Amino acid sequence: MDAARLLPILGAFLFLLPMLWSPMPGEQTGRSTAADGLYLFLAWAILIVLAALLGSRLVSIEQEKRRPGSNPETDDAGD
Amino acid sequence: MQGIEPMVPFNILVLVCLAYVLVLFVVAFVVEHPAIRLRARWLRSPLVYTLSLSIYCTAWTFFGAVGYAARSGLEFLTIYLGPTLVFIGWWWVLRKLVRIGKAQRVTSIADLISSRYGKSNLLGVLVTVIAVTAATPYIALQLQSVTLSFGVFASPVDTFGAPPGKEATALWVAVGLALFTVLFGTRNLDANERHHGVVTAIAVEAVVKLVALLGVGIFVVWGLADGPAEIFSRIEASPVANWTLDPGRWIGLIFLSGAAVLCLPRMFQVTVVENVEESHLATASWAFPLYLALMSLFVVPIAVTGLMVLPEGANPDLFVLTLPLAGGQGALAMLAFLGGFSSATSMVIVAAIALATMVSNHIVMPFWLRMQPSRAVSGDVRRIVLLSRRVSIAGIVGLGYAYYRLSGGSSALAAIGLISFVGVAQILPAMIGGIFWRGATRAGAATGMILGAAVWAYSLYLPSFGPEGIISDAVMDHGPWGIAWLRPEALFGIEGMDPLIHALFWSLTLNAMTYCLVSILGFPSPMERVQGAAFVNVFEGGLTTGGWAGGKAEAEDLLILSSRILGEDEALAFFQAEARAQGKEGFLPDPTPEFLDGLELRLAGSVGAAAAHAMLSQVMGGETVSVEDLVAVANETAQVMEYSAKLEEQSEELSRVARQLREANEKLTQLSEQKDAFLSQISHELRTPMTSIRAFSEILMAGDVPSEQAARHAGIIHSEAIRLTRLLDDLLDLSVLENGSVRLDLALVTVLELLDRALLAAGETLPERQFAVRRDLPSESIYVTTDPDRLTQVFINLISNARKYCDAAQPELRIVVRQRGGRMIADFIDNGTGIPEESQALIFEKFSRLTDQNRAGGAGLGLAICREVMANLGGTITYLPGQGGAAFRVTFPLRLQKAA
Repeated sequence: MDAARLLPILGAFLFLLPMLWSPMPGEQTGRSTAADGLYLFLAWAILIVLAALLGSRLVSIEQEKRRPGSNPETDDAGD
Repeated sequence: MQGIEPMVPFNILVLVCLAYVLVLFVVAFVVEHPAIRLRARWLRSPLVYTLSLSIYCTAWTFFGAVGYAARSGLEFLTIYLGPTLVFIGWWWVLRKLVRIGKAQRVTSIADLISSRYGKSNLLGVLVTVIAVTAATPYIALQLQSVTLSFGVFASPVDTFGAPPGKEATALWVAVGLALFTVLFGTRNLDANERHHGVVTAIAVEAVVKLVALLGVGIFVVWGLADGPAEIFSRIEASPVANWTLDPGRWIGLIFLSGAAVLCLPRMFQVTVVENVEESHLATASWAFPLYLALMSLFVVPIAVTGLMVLPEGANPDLFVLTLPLAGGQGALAMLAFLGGFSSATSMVIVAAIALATMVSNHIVMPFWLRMQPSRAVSGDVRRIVLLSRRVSIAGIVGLGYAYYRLSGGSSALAAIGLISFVGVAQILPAMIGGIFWRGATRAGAATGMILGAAVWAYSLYLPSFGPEGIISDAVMDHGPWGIAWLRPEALFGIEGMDPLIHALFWSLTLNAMTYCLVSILGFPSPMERVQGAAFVNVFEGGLTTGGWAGGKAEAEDLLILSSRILGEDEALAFFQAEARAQGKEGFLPDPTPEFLDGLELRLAGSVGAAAAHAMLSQVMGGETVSVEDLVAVANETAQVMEYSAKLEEQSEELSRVARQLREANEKLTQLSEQKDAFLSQISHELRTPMTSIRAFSEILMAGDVPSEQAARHAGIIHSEAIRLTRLLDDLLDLSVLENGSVRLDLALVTVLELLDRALLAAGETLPERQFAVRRDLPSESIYVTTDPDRLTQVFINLISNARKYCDAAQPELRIVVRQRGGRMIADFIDNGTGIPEESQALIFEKFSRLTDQNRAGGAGLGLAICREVMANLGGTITYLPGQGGAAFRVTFPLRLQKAA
């Protein structure tokens, strides 16, 4: 559950990272657009895989919780 | 490369488009077909859900992303990174939105906001206006891209001048789209506003555009270049590599696109409203980002290759089309064309449906309701809702077309996508605040949104029309009336910001700040508190919106109201189910708060929360949030909640049992009274004719009577004897029927025949009375297997009852025959005053007569016999309330089997 909450924060960090190594406007350093693109798509792929893993886990947890007929909402009462 | 000849004649192209739309039509139609909908479970799979989300990728993505990449390098990715973050973070916001959407039967984003802030219609109107304003140029953009891509095929690629009938193309596209949307978006008024057919068609379109874009990408990477390695070096060498990452724009655009994916009406429609199951969201959380990644994977290679291969000055927005054409790949180009066509059509269809729902629920319906005299909701509301949706769809697509014509399809349209995003992002503070912060108020949301939208319009939307538009160059440079700090692109004197980011920053900052400030200073109304708690604590459940305590409404009034919105059958079924849940028989449940809440949610699914609330308020007389409700909202520590929930459950159970017992007791008492009454009735009924027979026979026995007088006396004796016999026959009949030992003569007859016979026979009752009978002969021509004599007997009874008791000046009887499943339903409805509610349960009992005996003339056995006959025929006869007169519903099986 907490992992699912943290994932977008990790994603935001990964996507904002290129800003750090970007040159100041006007300055022309040897930055590679193709490499930047490759990095972004790689980060994207990692996020997708992580989300897929988490998503299936969360669904099975939810369903398990619902089956005994107990209050299915207790997981959210804590936060 | 030289100029490229058009590969396909214009009219063939039109044919291809028509054929494609026809396929979509068939898909949507087949899916809507009930038999298929039940069988094909995959239609409700997470895959279809994820694919339908792809309407985020409009023609602006399909064609525009390449152009964007050619102009600003990797910045185009921000448009897809934002939604990715929102979807992988579904546990935060999307899950809550979907849960709320289901709990409150939300029909649109305007409905969500209006419902959260105390079902306020003002906010609904506000959100609708913002959404329509922002979406109009966007729809125009779609029309433009379809028209442009038509142009590529219809004329040489390097002269983008007006191809034959450019305006006409746009017009026909607009008309076709409006027609398709009306046909499939408003076929029925679904209780939860879902459109399976349209969603599936959209999913098909999603596949088409993905395949098309991937196809072009693969062709470019492996056909025009030697694979990824060469593309890699080409990217480095091309002007695209010279872009610089502007941190402000980078963050701003990621945030903006993330906000847009939540707030765009069409995205809200597919994500929240059309969601069938919450678990689909888990799949979409990774599959939708994957779709976006695949869509953008080949964008840069296509842009780079296009800039290299195609002649100088070629429109980069059309590289997806012109590259395959230049490479001589006609089929691929056609696929790309269809991909672009798909992107445009699916966006327009869903946007039109979503916006039309909003316009009709928040602007047209409330206006229409206000026009009605209070309490009386007359006329068929369903038809009006559907009509207003259809007109709204046409209106919205028409607005898009008008904008396209006015802007002349200028290149300024290309930037409009982001401008429109900033517009809808104004809804974000009210939405996020609404689902996480209970203290947020209606006034805060309204002022925040108005201020934000005003700043957006002033600093971004209006300037986008160009200097000839509303805001002149002088104002842009020096501010209105020379006030420099009000310059649209440098508010408060802060210069040098990118205009888009400038507008985004100021509009959202001011929006959110006023929203918070006004909310903190103000105080939410009771209704807002209740709704706020229901939204923020949606996962805790239990606490419903409890708003209808102490209702004064008559169940019958409510039934009339809801059958005009939901349709008669559905409303009756809903009322019957509710009545049964309360442990009552018949169609009329007690108007308990729980029942009213359920009813309001049900109506909200059709006409939106605000309208449903207003309608019920009309019937109930004013809002009824009481102090107890507020106490209930305040005392919600977990323990109290759990304890009270348990207690409530028990007391509900108790009250249900008690109600059943009370009803049983009442019935027993009545039955015992009836038994006594039956005996005294019987003796009375037997005695009256007996007395006159004895008296007249004594006279005759005395002898000296003139012969004609003797004949008259004999006649009276005879008729009294007949009356006696008939009474005894009836009693005998009743006891045979009650024992179930009656013999049935089954035969195959049409209902028409039976009714004809019944009407003929019943004509003998009060023949002097003018009596109109309205029937629908074709619907009656259904063959049934039943006992014709017995059934006719029931019909005769009902018709002659109507003749006898209908007290209207122009009495009229309506006979409606329908087939539902394996059963026939025949309703007999007259236009008299009907039967008072307290007597409705009694009329089927023996010797029950409502009026005095002289008028009735019968023994009061008719309906009792009818009930027994119908029980023997495997059917029922019930009194149907809320029809504006006395109404009886007879149901019986289509094919009666002979008892073994």
